Amino acid sequence: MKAIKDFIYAGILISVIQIGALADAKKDDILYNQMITEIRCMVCQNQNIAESEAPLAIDLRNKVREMVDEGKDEDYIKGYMSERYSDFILYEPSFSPRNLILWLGPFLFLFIISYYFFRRSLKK
Amino acid sequence: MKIKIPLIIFIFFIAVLFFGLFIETRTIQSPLIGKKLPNYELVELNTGYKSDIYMLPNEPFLLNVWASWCLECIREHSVLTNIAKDKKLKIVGINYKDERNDALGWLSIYGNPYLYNIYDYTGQLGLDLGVYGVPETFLVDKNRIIRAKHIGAITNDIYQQQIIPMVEKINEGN
Repeated sequence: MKAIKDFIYAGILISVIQIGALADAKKDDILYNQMITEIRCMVCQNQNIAESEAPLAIDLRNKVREMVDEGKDEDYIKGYMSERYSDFILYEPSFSPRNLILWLGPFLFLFIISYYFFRRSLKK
Repeated sequence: MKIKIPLIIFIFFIAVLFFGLFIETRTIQSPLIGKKLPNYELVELNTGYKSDIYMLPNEPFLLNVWASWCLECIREHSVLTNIAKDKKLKIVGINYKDERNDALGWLSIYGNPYLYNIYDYTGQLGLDLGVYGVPETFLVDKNRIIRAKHIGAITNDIYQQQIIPMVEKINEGN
């Protein structure tokens, strides 16, 4: 009887560990799939490395896979890529002083235009 | 006056977009300029001896990324041969993602202007250097700092008008 109990406990323990490992693997896959759609293929510049079959894109995909398997996070992978290939490799550039105009420019433009129209409607 | 301001904005926009057509988007300024060469532990193409960053020349030199499968490299090769003959600059090659025999055959056909070649079979050094369009050439100083990068084939004009003045400037600074 004890043997059966032990057997069941062992079974439960193993499945818990397995589920944990599966969840981890799934998280890695999500990060991997997200990363490869956000990294630009430098050879065919309007494709990301998930879409492109250029040798460089394949290399970069493998590199991302390697880093994900090592447990690196999104910031590390993006930093790794932009350190070598400049911010241009990221489809969504980082919010840094250099990119400030890129991020705030449209809002500034919207503000100026709406101010202009607001003033014009006041005059009427 | 009422029509004029939107019209000015419109024309300004069209002008921005029009000039945007002529911006060169294929060559991206490398973020590595001013930084130290990444470390590597690879082998020399011909001899198979270990090759690392400490074996590089102790003077400004060109680091040229090439491959036997790269057609543009053949065109560039005559320019590199001239630079080697000029004896002002040494050229170290990085053989990028290539088969060893193909690379050695290529060198025996077209001649070898390189001091030696670093054999980067996996392309990891290329990745560390942000290489995406072979041929690419780096100008590196004696402290292993990357001073300039050119993507695509070097021409005699680029050598005479850009590289040589830059090397003179580096030499004056030291």
